[in-house]
Amino acid sequence: MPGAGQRVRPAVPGLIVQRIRPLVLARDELLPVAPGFVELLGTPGLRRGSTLVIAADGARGTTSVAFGLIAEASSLGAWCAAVGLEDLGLVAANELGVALDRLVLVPRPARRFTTVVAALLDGCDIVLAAAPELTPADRRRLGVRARERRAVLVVLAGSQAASAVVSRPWPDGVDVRLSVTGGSFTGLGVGSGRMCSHRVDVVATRRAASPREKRASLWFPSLPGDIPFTPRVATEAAAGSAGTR
Amino acid sequence: MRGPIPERTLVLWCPDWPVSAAGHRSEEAVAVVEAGKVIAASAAARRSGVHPFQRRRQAESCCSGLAIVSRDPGAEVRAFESVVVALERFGALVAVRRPGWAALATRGPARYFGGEESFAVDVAETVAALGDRLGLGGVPQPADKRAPLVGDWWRVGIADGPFAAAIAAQQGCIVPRGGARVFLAPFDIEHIGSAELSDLLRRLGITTLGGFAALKEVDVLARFGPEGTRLHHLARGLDGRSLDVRPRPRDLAVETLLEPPAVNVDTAAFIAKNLAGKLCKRLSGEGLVCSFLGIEVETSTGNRLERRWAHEGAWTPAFVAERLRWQLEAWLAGPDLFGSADETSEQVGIARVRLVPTDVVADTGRQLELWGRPRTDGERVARVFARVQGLLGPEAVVRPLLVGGRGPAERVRFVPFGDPIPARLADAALPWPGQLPCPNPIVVPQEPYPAEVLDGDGRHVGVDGRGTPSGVPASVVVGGRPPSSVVAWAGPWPIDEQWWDTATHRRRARIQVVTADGDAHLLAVDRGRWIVEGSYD
Repeated sequence: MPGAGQRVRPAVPGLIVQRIRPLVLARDELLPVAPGFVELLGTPGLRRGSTLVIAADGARGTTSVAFGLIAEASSLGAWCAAVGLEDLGLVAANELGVALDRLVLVPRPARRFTTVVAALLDGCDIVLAAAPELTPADRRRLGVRARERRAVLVVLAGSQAASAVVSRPWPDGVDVRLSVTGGSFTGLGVGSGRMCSHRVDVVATRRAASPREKRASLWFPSLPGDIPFTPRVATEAAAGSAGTR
Repeated sequence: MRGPIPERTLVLWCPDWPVSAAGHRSEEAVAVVEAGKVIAASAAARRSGVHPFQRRRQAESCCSGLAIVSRDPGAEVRAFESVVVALERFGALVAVRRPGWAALATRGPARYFGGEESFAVDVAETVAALGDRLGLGGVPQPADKRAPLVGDWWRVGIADGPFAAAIAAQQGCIVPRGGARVFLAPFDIEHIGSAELSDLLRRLGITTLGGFAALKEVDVLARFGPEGTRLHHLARGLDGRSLDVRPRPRDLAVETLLEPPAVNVDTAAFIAKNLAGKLCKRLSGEGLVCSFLGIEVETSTGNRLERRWAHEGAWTPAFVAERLRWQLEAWLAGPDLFGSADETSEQVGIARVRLVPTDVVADTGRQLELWGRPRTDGERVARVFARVQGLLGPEAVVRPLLVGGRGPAERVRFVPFGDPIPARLADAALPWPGQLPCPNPIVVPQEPYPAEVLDGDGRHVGVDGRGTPSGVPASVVVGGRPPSSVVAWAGPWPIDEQWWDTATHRRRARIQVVTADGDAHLLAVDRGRWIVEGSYD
């Protein structure tokens, strides 16, 4: 009989275990992400200190990808800030799983963009920034600040929620670049139905993962037919098994 | 059970202080009005039937020639301040319960001024002499020999404890030590100050304080609980409350003059550190913490800048210095400081820095987490947001709140970080029939911008009162871009909101469209005009 007569140790609550552990393990340096992103990022989560760029490459969906990316971490207690996103739909962000009580917005940083983002990287776990055109020095500075402060900097380019328009966003020093190359909307007919979900095709260009490039499709807010809606994203494979493509 | 021995107390009571503070004498017919209701009236007005809580129009109808003054609470406090300062000349322990009501412990001063009677008369004369400054009669009135403690706009009384003294002040008399119970006995039970209790006692047949005081204490405790016992003590003239002494925050401000004015951040930071240390030493020396810290700066050109910082818990020197430094940095870098004189004159610097703690309370310590860390997240994050607020202004950093509503824009409210959450918000948990289902558009323009929906023949598509579209949407024009053809659409979903209120009544119909170039929008039509309420991105 296994366990009979053996002394059973009471389980130590997980939080305390984390607190009293002397080392910082590599996996603690990861902020959790929804399953669909794991494959794209090449790591099981968002690595603290990294810089990501989400750019529109001829299709819509950057804002959804950005909020889908931070949703899991946000719902598990990470503080997020969004800079320069004036026209954000917070109801949708909430539907994707972002906790609004730990989200703070700086909609119009104006000329102080770099200073504001650098300050926010000091305290927040994730900073979403719709960057204007920045000098290489500023970009490097922000990247270094994120690495130093163990925060994640997510740069959005081509988001409709931002007023800043950039031609060539953040070309260097990026850990993962997610390019939105295509997408479609499901649920709408011709005068019938309603918007059900948004498929976004993403190409990830990664600095430290193999293969360097990875393609996947993400569904926002969830697979069609999934009722009740749960905020999650799915990879192409999962979508295929659900028989929607 | 006996409470502490009541302290001899002098109460100065100005019956219609809002009227007096506005500079009107009691024989003028004046009513002070707030939100359409009378809150105070002069004696003359009251004789004509004006009374508090009356509607303004009723008051005007029962007293012809009534002068209406709107209430200014700030002015009431300011005007009373001069009275309090005059009282402080008699004794340090002046307690102010509200403008128009101040109490003073008399034990010491009465002995100095030769007995309570002459002390009270002295106080009365001093207060009466203030009438000139307040615009309440030029010359101090010659003290009436029969009632020296009752003036035109003030009354003074002395008794055991503030409760009895307040009633003594209404009468303008001095109640001898130990005589409070007898003095209070004939007064109406309403004076007890608890509407609930006095109403109940009245129904039980007890109409005077004396009747209440005659009840046995154990019975009162059994029937009315500790609160009832406390009031029973008051009625028996055993008011053991000590006077809550007026706080004096004005001593706590620290300031420094800079000669020559500081123009760079390093100099500013050096000052910040010194000044913060001084402030914290002063605060902790008195065992106090403040919840707001005002930073006031005067520039070399005479401009004044001011910002308030909020923080719960202790302000350590490093913490204050950090904020002060950020604020000075932000001001030195920003356009505010330079105001009008940027090109013409020499560099503008900071000439004076002043730190003013407000909302000062006793330091009760702060709860740390197990393992001794501060509650990191909230604190660390709040510090960062405060810093950004220092750079851009408090309104630039906002928190979103989900509230009830139907469209994506009306379901979110923004509150500046650190501000309290507004009390009256639509409840998001209630059912909102007609609410847009998930997914909502992730782009919601701050200002909805115009759009146009056209059918196959290029005609405007409208939606009629029954929610039927006048044509099939074939193309849309969004925000001035060239028309793009519609590949899929759904709707319209009409909503008719707040039809009971003509001012906020709104009828809309929403459609969702997907265009050939891959955009998806949420469009709404309101009185024939299409707007973009949101986009899917």
